Amino acid sequence: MKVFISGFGTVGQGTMETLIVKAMDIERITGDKVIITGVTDSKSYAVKDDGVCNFSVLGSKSMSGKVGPDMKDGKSTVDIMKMVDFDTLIEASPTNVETGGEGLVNIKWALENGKNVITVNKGPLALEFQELMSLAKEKGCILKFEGSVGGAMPIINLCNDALAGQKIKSIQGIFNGTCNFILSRMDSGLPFDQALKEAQQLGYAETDPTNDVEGYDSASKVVILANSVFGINAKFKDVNVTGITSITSEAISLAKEHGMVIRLIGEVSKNKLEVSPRLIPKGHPLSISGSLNTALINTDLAGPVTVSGRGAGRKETASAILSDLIAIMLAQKKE
Amino acid sequence: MLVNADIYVKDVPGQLVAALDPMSVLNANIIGVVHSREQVISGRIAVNLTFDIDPERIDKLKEIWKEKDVIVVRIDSAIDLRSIVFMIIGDINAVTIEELMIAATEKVDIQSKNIRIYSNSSGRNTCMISISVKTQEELDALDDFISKGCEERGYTYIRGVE
Repeated sequence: MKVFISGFGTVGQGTMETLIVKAMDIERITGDKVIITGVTDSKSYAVKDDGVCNFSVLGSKSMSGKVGPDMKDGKSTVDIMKMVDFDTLIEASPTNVETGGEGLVNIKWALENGKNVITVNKGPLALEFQELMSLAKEKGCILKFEGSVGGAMPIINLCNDALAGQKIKSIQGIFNGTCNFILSRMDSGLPFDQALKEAQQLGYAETDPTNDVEGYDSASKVVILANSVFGINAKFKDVNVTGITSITSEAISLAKEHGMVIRLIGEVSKNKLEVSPRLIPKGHPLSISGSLNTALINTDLAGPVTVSGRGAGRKETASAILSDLIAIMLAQKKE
Repeated sequence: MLVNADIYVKDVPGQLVAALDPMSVLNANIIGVVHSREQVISGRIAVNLTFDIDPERIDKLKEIWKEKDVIVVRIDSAIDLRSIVFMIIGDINAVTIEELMIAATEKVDIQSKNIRIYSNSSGRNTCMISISVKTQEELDALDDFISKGCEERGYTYIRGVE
């Protein structure tokens, strides 16, 4: 299986490292090897039909910030993808929920040209989920996206495979670790601004935290779940979104007095797509503290099923990409 | 119809069963029986019953109990109230919250409410409200009304999870 990695930040590098470490396991499970034939970041690229040297690419990125000596110089990722042969695109470039950004262009080009796609980039899915799935079906390709919701928390495969046949009535979850970290720190008495600053210092929050604290990141995940689990043709604009910026210290204290905490909850059901701060009783599965992601899946047969995991991180997100890649390799082996 | 009743039965073996028997004959679904042995008055024990019954059969039940020497002290409908606890954050005060509550009362039959408002020097005040209503439909209507009311006024509405 020849692979092209678009985006070589934390997730892209973590994916390459994971593919090196897990090479023997992948071959044992699938009977095939993974060869990375192309890598791009925002400025540079490396391509080779019989496989780039993974260690050189990682070393170069670490030393110079570039994946290799070749600079993009105005070339798009699509231009680079055209230079080399590959079967599956791993799309890990930065998310843009307004336009889909370059990620959307890359995914469309890959599918139109018969390539499978694994994306952890939420923007394209939040904007054009059904269109991309239809395109993949039309071209006989596989589009997988487990890492786009909850990082290492295996919610999509859990709902669609392990819980197959059951009616999923609703999913309520903490889908943004940054907001949960901030609200958890506010539980300890910090005001919002200070909790946000701490999250930024620890690397949980971006310099511009809008996407997280206004609930847009969670809303993208709600859209992906609505489409992939509930079959609703939902778009980002269909989600009713309220972030956490208006939460006061008084609100946190008042909730605490009543044995509750405030958490940013994404909710998906047939008639509700929402991201909003909610009052959660202490001890409830959604009352967790820290940066973890958690989802409560309400089913007709199994009742409530809770799944939890690290929502982001180098190895954590790479684990979701690895499971998608193995699923594609096994599916193609059967054909 | 959910009914709650206080009855007194003779403090002799078999009397409680005799009081409950006609309920199954009348297709009543017994939900709770509280048998208070410490409340013995004139040789009778107090029993509190909660049961679901067709309202048209209540008179027949009272008639049978009378025949079996069961004394009915009180029998009335037991309403299973539904409660919602929520917060509102924003440029609010006692007047704005009262106005919102009056408007809510026109939409649903509020059984009880408890309101606490906390002021903040920034002007973003926090209010915690708990409200009880009779039915799930009223609860949903109230949730919808408060949600829209807050959106229109620019308040943040924080409700619980089911």
